[in-house]
Amino acid sequence: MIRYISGRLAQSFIVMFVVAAVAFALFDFVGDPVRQMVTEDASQAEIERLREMMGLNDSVAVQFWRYVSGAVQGDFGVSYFHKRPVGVLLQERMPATFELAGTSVLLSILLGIPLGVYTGLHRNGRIARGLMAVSLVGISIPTFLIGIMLIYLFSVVLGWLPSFGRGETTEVFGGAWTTGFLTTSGLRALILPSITLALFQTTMVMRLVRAEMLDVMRTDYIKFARARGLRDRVVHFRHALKNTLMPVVTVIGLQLGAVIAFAIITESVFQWPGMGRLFLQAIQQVDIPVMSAYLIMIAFFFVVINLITDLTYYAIDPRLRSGALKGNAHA
Amino acid sequence: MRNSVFAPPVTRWQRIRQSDLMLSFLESPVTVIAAVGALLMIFAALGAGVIAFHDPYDMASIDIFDSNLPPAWVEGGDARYPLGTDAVGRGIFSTILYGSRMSIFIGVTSVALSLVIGVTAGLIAGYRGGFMDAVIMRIAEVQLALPTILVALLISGILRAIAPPSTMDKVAILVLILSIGLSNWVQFARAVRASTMVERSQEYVLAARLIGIGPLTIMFRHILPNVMGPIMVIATLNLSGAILTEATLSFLGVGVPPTQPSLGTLINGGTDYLFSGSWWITIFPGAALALLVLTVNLVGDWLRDALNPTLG
Amino acid sequence: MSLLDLRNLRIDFDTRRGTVEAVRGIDLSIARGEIVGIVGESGAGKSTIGNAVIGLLEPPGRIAGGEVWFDGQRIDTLSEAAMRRIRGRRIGMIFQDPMTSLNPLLTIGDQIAETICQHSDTSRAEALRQAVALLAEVGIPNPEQRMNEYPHQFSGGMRQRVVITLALCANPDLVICDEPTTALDVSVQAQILSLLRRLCRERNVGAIFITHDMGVISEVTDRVAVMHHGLIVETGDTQTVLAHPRHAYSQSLLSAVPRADARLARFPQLDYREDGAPPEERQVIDLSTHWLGRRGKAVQGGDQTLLEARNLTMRFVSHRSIIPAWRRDFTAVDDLSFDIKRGETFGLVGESGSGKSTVARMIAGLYTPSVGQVVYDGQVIGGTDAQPMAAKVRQQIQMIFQDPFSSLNRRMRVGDIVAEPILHHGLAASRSEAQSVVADLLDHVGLGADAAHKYPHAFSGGQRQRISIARALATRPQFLICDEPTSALDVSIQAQILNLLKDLQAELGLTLLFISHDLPVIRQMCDRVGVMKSGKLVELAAAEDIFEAPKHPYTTELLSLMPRVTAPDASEWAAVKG
Repeated sequence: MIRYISGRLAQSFIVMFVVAAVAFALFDFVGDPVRQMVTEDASQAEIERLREMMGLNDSVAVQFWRYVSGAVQGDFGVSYFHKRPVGVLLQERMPATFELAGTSVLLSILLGIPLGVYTGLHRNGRIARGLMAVSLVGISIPTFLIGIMLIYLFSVVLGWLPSFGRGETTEVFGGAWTTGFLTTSGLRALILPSITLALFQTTMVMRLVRAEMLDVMRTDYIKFARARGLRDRVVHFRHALKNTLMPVVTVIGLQLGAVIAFAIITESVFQWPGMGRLFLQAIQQVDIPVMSAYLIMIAFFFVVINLITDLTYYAIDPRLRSGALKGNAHA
Repeated sequence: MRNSVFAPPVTRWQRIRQSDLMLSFLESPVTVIAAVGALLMIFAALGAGVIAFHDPYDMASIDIFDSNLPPAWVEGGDARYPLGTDAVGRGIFSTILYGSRMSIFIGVTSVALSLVIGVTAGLIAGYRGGFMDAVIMRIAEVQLALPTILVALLISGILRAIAPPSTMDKVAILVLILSIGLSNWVQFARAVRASTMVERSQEYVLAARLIGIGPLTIMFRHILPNVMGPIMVIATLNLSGAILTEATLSFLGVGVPPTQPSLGTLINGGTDYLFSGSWWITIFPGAALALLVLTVNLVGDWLRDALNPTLG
Repeated sequence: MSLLDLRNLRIDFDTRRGTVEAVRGIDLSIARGEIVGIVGESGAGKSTIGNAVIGLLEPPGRIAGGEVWFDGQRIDTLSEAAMRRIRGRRIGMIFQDPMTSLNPLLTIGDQIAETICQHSDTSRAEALRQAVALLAEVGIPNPEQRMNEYPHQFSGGMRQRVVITLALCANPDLVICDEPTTALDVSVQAQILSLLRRLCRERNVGAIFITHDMGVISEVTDRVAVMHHGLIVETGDTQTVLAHPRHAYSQSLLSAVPRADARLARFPQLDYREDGAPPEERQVIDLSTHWLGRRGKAVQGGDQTLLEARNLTMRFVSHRSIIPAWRRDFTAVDDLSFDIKRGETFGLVGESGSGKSTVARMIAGLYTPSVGQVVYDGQVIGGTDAQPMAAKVRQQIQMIFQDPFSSLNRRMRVGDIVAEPILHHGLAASRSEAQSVVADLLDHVGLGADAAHKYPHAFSGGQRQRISIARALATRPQFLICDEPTSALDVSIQAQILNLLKDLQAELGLTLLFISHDLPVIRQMCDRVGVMKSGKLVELAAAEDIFEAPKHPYTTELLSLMPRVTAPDASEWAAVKG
């Protein structure tokens, strides 16, 4: 157990270290912070003094250490554009993105897994084929286009739902989090963006579960279970579904990370005040501190999710618990 | 095999015609239609200069009085512009042809880039194992932590920071190809690595080693042809993915500059008019994009099932 | 009255290229408590019969005609729901591979209990109690504790005992065993076979034993049906059929089974063909003029040592870690020494996991030994401090592998496969010479020169093994390593391939290292034999001594477990070739 987790932790640290190095390189070399802070006609001496003051003349290692220890405490420097600390900016926008992404992932899992199981079991059925066709169309239309079409239909033509923004929000946890879940307008505003974001993920989950289900249904132990006269329900859900969960858990983990990035598009279409839009503005305005901070945040989420995924494996698969999955034996 | 010593007694075409792949292709009418549709669109895009009614990016051929015309079958439409015109009088049909030419070009070149990088990395990681494998797979893992769109946005952001804005338009397309290509190689690398690790222990590879054949020859001449199946599947599915990514990036304003339109910039440019009722400016390029991606996906899906029914 | 009755059963597979008739109308009946064997080579259609009886024939397979009667009821026309009540409850089934037959994520106890509960009104607690008793009955020690373990915690033999428990836990009247011991080692096989026989007798259960192995048939079954190309060619009392086969196909099958009691110069071969065409004669070549003769002078005879293995040891890493204390390795081959004389056939025999293939790969230079050396013709070629093998030596050592399907690159034409070593080592003056050499080699291994244009998938397992042999010969080797060259082949094909190897050895003066788990094959092929167990060489002696006067207890045990087929007296049949 300890061995397994420590191995995973070590890998996570390596990933984080590399990403931090990239973010630091971005922060330090690409966007020269001094250039952003002084006027065009600043003298060389002034620039030099500022450099010294900001520690830019220290060795790269010292600067990197300072960057990383700052990042750990949530200090990512000051945004060039907003002129405010990046940490604060991210903290303000995090709830919006998390509520959107969380709702979408939940939707995609709740819809995707049952649909995947169904289409996997009724491989050649008419409904299953129809669902597969619809899902293929679903992944062929870009997210932003779906968003635009939904806005056109439900906001412009029908006028049922708001076309942009988050609606009214409430502060909870002593102001640390603003939520749109508690007001009607907040919930109404969430509907279109979360559907837009969930659609792609749902089709991915569904297609994956289906493929895994088809794979597992071909195995010897399923055939043996049927040869023992077990009921279809038992064979499908007790024997087959559990064995498809491992890859599904992996992909859901990857999706969670991807959803936060995909939120950039949805947030841009619906003018949703989240981290994605902040990042997109940062790209357009070459706001380097925001870009590098966002990079680190995303990688951090990914690594945490990955770790949770690995622990889930551990709970599902007895072979991992006893460390039996080792290299092939040699004859 | 390119340098076969043995001339085939049947022609290549006969072999292809009789292969399981071809038989399964002909058995699936949806795939045949999709493949024909995809090819038609690709050829139409390549021949944009010939097929389009006018060159929408030649100032001389557009007339501002023709702006915002609806499609030909709608009242007020003009037969010269079957799908209507946009705000400056460009025919939508013509802009779609020119736009999809750009989208397909970027899609194909970026997939080619990720294929070359990914296949090489996957072969080396899978065949050599050990240290090289660890290094390549760690890089892939870091890359995986950052989704395609994000990496492409970052690369484009960095280049904006380094390069002066005036040069951005000129290199924008190259940047786009690089960022899409560099963020998609991992899929190829992982699939090729997994297959290569299986092939490496196959006895035909051991036999080649016993003959004394070097690792590079074994990797590229013996193993590569045997792992082409998954490569083809991923390449096809990635092509549609790359076209989508290009459209998305252009929509977000960091892709193709408006002077050299792609399907993404066309859709983006049309959204402003959507709310004023000129739906055709956005919907037709959107439909063209969806159709192109859908047909390529259909072919890719079929290929995956036909080549390897167990491939996830 | 018979328990199971197959009446003119026909099974078809509809494929893209037309219908394949897998079973072409067979009649067979099994009485309660009787064990009936169905024996035949691959493609004979025997496994589809089992699947058809239990109603699990997978598409595109379908019952095309005939009837299946079970206990007075016609079952091939039953609905899926009705059939499900028969499966497990009335008819049990055991599959070949115990490693994949059990659900890896459920405990053994869970899997047994759910099966018991499915077929009776037993409570779960009671079902678990029954499961313990059953596991004890099939010989699993500490059943209470092992109930809560997962399949991966059991060895192959133990898993097959669990599979047997699962198949029998609802007290069926008939059990279908589809190659139940093929994936197991010979020692485990013997235990499983006697267990199955005991259980069938005690519970008065009828059994169908589907196998390709005459040894299994002779050990277990009361009656046997011999299948060939979808037809039963002969049925009868097992001992009678084995001793006096009447049908020409049964005769050829039995004559190809390697004998354990005496070494023959060649396998007597009865080439059975439905069309009655005569077998082709091999051309004998004149080495003084032939391309194969143009190699370095082979010094014949004498006691001269060609290859020497000195203290070979191979350790594999089984668990990698940065922290040294967490690293694990296991020793596959442990301090092995032997020598091989020029022109002889040296055999290595052992069960799976004994390390014999690892030895072969170290000698071939595919693995570098952790400790020890391989010396070839006085030159150190393998070991941690050995020089990279020179092309000249590289050419002299070639290998024939076990799996005829993975040993040929499926994307290369057969001609290119065989030409590759010739071109790589520059053994032909021109491409056209290479071409004619390849044609000649393919002809010489009995395939015909036309094979060069085709891809491997056009050939059967035995033909592919001939291609492998042609490729190995294409470097003009002196030393040939045969790693289980026939274990994936049908017995009649095995006899042909082994005869070919014997002929080539005599013709070309080859030295052979022959590796097998199959004692009778070893006896037929080898001059001297080393017996391996858990990476160690436990006995090394002349083949006759190993078989007639074994010294080590492990050798004695292996010999006693070897299923014996009483070799029929071939002299009474007409067409046997010596």
